[in-house]
Amino acid sequence: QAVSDKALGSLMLLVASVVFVYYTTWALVLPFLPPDNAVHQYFLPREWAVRIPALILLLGLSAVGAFVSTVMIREGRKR
Amino acid sequence: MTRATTFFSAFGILSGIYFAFFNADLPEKFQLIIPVFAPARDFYNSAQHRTVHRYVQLPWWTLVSFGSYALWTLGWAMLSIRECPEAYDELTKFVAFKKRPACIWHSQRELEDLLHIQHFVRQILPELTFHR
Repeated sequence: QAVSDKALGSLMLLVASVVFVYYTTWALVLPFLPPDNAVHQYFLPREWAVRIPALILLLGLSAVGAFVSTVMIREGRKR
Repeated sequence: MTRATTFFSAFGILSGIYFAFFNADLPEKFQLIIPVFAPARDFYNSAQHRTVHRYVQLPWWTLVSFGSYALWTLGWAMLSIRECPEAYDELTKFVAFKKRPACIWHSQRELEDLLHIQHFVRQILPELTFHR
């Protein structure tokens, strides 16, 4: 057991908090700030705030579908 | 009302409200005051008022926040659940005890009986009798 449970759990916590805070400011706070604000340089252009979750969702669904299909093929071949 | 009914009715009401505001042409003051609603256009770029760049943020934001909440719950559970070392010790002792050979030499069985009797005499019998 290379990585302890606590280390992995705290890493997941950190990643979840960072993702949530970053995405919330990016999607909901930034449009209300004037465009000459210095904060905007830390974020990608805002169409990516929609494209990245859409890509992740697409990849996730296709991975789930591929897994289900391989399982079904294997079951069919066993019979 | 079942939980599915309440869930889907709440979902339907919220999405109805969202879609009602989605196509409404609110004056700019209200678009800033109403809590952050899928800014359909960037407010400081007047050129975009013509072309409707609908970066529909709120549904994607709920999806991302749900994913991060799920990850947070997993991480928190992994951090806060104890390992129970005493239960582990007891279980290993129990397993070792059960693993002992079923048919053992007579003398070893007598030895085990003597050990049980000794344990009984030393620890259980004084508590059963009442003299102090």
